Amino acid sequence: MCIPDGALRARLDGDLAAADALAVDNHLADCAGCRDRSEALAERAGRVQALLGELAPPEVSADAHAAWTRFLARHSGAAAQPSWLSRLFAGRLAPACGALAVLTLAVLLAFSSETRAFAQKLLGLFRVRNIAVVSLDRRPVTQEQGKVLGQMLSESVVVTKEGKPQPVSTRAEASRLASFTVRLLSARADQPRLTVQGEHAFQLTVEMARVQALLNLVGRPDLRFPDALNGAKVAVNIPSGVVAAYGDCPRRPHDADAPLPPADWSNCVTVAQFPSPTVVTLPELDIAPIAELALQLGGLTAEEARAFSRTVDWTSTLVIPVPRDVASFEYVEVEGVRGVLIHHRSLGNRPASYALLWTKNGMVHSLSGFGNPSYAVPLANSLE
Amino acid sequence: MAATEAILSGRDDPAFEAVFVGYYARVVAVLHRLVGDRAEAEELAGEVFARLYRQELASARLHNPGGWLYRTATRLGIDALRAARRRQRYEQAAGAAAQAAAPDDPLAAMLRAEQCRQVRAVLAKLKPAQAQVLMLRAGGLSYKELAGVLGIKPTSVGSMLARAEAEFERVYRKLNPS
Repeated sequence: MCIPDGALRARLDGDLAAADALAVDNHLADCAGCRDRSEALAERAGRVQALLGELAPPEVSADAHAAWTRFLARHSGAAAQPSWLSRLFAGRLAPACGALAVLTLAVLLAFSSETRAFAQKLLGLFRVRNIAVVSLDRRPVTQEQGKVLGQMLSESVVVTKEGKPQPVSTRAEASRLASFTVRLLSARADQPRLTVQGEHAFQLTVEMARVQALLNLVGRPDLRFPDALNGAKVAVNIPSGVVAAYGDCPRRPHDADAPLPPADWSNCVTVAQFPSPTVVTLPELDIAPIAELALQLGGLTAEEARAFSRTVDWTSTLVIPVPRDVASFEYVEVEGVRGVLIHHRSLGNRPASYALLWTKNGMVHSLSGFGNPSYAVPLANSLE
Repeated sequence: MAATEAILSGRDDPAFEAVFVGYYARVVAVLHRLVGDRAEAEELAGEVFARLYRQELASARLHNPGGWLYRTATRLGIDALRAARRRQRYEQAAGAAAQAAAPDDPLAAMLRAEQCRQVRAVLAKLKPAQAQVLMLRAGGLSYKELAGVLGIKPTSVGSMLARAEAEFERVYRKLNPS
């Protein structure tokens, strides 16, 4: 039984197990045909490898550290327009960062329609009445990924309203511009800097090819969304809200990864209040399976995702994913309702921070700061 | 879809920086062998690491980034070679580099550059998988490493190499009848 080329070739390189090598050698001793083939293979291998060897470049030292600096400079940076959208996906409401993007995406995708008609009957479907937290073992989506996701998503998005943030000097003016009564912390003696965040609205057209590319980007090509989503239009409206910043705060509090100059931010408290965002479409789809897919994207197993999914009402609950390695959370009572207090540990230059989130009367509130988190609830309770 | 740049923050990722710094020289060498142009090799190396970063973003860190890096570097280099327009540029650059490297013997330098041009032309004409196994073997990978990088059984490496060498020689002789 003659030896195939593959085994002869491997024998030449010494890459056969000892027993197989012995068998080949024994056969070659008796078989002139195989010997000839083996020799031919050896000569050809020699010629080809010699030619390829010519390609070896002259030794030039590569400065890997300099290359790393160049690589960093090249591959980090601000996301493209619209930047506010990327910031939204970067987790403006919680320091738990861009993980929100994945679930937001899922929420957006959940409210799709079999039909393309969009404007006729508008039903506000998603209004936040509750906030729940799901703890994930690894960081499901990083800040940077959130930016990339937001950027890729923004290519399908038509921005219909983009209000600019407007600093105002009095509570009355803030209330007028935002069209609701703004509440402030009575427990703080100092005056906050007030900014009215403009209203934002955008329409998203779901393209399954892009969704699949997003899933590939985060390494989950196995997850499949229903094809019926293709071409569906979803409209999201984020009403005007107000941010009140007390004390010495980093200049860009929303950019969770920006380097902070060393300073004492412990008296910084930021209160944001927003009427609940609304997601609007013609509802036909059951959101639970899609939310479960999003949770799997975030690292839960299918069983865990299903178990968690059954505990929330997806049409009225804002679910915040919290990565276990950088943040912990606890449910607390604030203003007579259940809220969640997220503790974000210090990371690099950025000191530890906390964010207290709750909804009351259709308004989503967040109170975040760098100081002692045990002040969060009493401070929040002092809103009036 | 518009090309997206990997967005990363080196501050938070010392592990990735360690992989980058540890493997950079080898990745550049693999690419340089393929494209013959140092600047292009470094450019492509950047793309290889950017892809590694994106690849790792949501999944757990790769246990064997080396294997992944070799496979991706050879694939990107071969793709670059196959883009004919770029190959012309490389050849010019490679020729110039060869001249610079051996100023005392311009004839030898020219012959060497021509030889390399021919070899790259053959590589560009092979099936990418075959060009890949040849380049990886030329780069010194063992059969076991080749199997790991290419995702094949170690017992298949021998026959894959033999076939690739046969094909290489066939195409080489076709392009350079003499």
